[in-house]
Amino acid sequence: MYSQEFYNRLLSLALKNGGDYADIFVEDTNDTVLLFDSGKVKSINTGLIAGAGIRVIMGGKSVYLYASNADERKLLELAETVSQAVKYDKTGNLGELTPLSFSNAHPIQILPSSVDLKDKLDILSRADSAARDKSSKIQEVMVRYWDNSQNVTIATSEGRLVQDRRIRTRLAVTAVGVDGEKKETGFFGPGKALGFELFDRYTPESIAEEAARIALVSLEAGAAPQGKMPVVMDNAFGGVIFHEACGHALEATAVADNASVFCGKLGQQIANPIVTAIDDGTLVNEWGSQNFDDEGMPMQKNVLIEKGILKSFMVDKLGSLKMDHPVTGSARKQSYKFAPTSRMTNTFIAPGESSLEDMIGSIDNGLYCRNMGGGSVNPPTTDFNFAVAEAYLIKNGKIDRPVKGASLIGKGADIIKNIEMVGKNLDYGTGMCGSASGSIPANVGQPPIKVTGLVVGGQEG
Amino acid sequence: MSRNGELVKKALKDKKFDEAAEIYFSSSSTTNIKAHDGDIASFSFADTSGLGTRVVSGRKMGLSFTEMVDETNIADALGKARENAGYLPEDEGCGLFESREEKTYDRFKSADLHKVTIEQKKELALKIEEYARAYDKRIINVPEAIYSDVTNERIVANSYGLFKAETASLCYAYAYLMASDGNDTEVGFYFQGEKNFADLDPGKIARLAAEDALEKLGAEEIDSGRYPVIFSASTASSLLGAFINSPGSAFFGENIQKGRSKLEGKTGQAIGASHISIIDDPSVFSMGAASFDDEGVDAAKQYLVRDGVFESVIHNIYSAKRSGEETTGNGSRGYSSPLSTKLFSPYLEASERSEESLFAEAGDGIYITSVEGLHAGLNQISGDFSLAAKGFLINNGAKGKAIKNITVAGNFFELLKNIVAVADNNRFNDYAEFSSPSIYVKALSVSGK
Repeated sequence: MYSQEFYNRLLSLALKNGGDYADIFVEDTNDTVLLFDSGKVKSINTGLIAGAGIRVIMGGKSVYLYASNADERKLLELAETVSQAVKYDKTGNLGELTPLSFSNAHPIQILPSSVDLKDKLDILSRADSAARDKSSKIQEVMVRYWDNSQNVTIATSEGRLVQDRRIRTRLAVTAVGVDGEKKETGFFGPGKALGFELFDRYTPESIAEEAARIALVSLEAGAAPQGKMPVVMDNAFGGVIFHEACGHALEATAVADNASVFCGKLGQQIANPIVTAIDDGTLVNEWGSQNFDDEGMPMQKNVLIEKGILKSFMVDKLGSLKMDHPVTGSARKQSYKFAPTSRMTNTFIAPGESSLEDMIGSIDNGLYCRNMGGGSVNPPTTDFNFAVAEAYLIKNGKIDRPVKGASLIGKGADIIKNIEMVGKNLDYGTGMCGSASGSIPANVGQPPIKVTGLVVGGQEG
Repeated sequence: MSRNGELVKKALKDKKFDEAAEIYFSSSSTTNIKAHDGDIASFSFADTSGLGTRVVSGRKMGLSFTEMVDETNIADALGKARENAGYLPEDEGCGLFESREEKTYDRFKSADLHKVTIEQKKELALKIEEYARAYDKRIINVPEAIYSDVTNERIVANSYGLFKAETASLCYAYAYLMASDGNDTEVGFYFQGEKNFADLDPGKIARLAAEDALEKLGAEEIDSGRYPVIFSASTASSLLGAFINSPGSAFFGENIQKGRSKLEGKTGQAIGASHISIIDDPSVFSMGAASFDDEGVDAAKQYLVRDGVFESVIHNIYSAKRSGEETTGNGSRGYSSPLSTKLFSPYLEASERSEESLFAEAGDGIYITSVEGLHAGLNQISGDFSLAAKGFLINNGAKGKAIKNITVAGNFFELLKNIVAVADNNRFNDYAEFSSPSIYVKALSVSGK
């Protein structure tokens, strides 16, 4: 960490040719990736991600310069170069830099750096064995362990000086089931803003068994059906539907450029009144949680949709200047190699009144999705798609046989109106979200929900 | 030799242990410019570098990386890789390229990029937006009119004496825009990547992105069923690339060895229609072109499939050693990532037929012009895919009305056999990891209303 005076000097240098706002982001991150494959350790890779970026915003425009290996000389050079790229007749007030003192809302009990590599490798080995022990049909297991400790310093011309450390740990298991010619995979990969104590919450065995269970179900599954039908999506990673169908179109990245269907809809009814959706970066030790966002703003709980009414967008500094909307602690990025923009943190549909049984009981012919894969969306149209990892037919109000290979498509703006029932049991699922500012940890979540009007794309027929 | 090259050589010479070691270094300068509403909305410039080490101790290989590239940190990274190796089990596949060859390359270096000013680059991004808006009044917004370029130096060197270095540069531009007729909004996209700035054509990018969005307006839903399908060149490229040139590819030795490929034991056998050939030709410029792979082995032209027959398993040094074969020069890694496999400029060989002639042959069916969901909606091992799609009906051999809200599902391995015909329209300057002409496939499941 450099001195307060040095950051002040960089900020005034960056703003010397004008600008409404400037910020500096310095990081050094220790990253460990361990891979276990075919019953043994496949790869151990440890490394240091280190660099810095300096940004100036003028009006709705921005200039961002970044470099790896940024020492004092390099930072001064970046500040000078960034100012050369700015021609602007206003200079925002340069606030007095004040180091923010705070208590870490996401306490870590066991720092990954304090754990011997052997103990980490033991976690992978336990997961591998547990998946194989589940069934002789589990013939391949891949285990990926990731821990990441990101030290950041953020200094802004608004006077914030934040120094924080963000720690995350994740274990992901892919199990391959084989039955004759059939080969199917199952995946489960929970992560939290925790250290090695993650494994007190999820034993490696429980993670591996869930991955193996999904692979085994898929081996039994037939082809998924085709056409429009009611769908029940179970909790946790099922929340990817809201993330894709709606969340991205509520980010300032899309809204500020008039590239979202939800532009100008604040205060309007955009969803069924039973839908309340929240993005909350303050949930203790959750995957998408941090003390501060990447502009040094405290993360906050943002109610996006309340009883169907659009209440807030997710807004970063640049977006707030373009949209005249307050910032919401939503500025995030993968690393110094990206300028921050508005992103989701832990995004979920709030619990409702219905039970999973009621939802399934209400459907004669439909699909029950217990586990989802990834997806994507076009924010201007909210046309989205995602893959279903574990699904069952619903016949006459009851869960029927498993089906595989389905994708679900629809238009987010329609789907949130077509959420007909919301369940009680909220849970979260771990994901990585890719967008303009890189790949970031993002939690999705929901209780079970019932949706109509989705097109199920299977291979049947 | 560059300063970085000297640093790498010195670090290998000065290393404090006897085991074989490799250094992978890359540095790049990147410019990215976005135009919006007639102005430059964002500008970014970056200077980044990183260095990855691999140390082979016995039959164990450890890795480490750093973005602090200086003598001390390189020595640390070498030491750390050696230490990490100690925790690994013996693995017969571990090895580095045992070559003393020293060579530098610059054939993929742009001829003009270094002479292009920032102002010219900004102008190009601005023109894309301006042309797109002027093309049709239904183009209501161009959220992304982007120009970007990158100059990269990549070095692979090891303690056997290997030293390969390549300087390459390329530029690209694209438009992502919205069209609306008042009722319906659609998005359009077109990407062009080139070695030389002079070849970027903002007018063409704007026009083709605009047409992509405009022709989707007013699309209708169709009934579920099995339809003959023609994939446009760009959608065929994306779909085939997601299977053929991605880490889980069935053609890659490592996946075959682990029982994760349906092509296991199928070399020499027909796996596709007899008129198709799949080739990787590193001498062809594409977004993935390079002179040597990430282990320092020269890239060479090879047939994956020749006249429908599976010809070559694709290897890096690791998978080759485990098969008792020679590497095919397809090792892939970045400084911070472990070894995997990649192709350079792979493509499905074109015919001399026009895309229109495929329509005529299909008679009735579906023409797919956009697919979504490639990172989630397919299964590399089984080959099954189910993707969100948009396109057009084909009626009596001609392009008919636009269709939307469908998924197209099938199986990659079946599809290779069921390609009835291919067209003549490969594009190598697209962003896809594969280049395909338009293809006509016998029949696929389409889910609609």
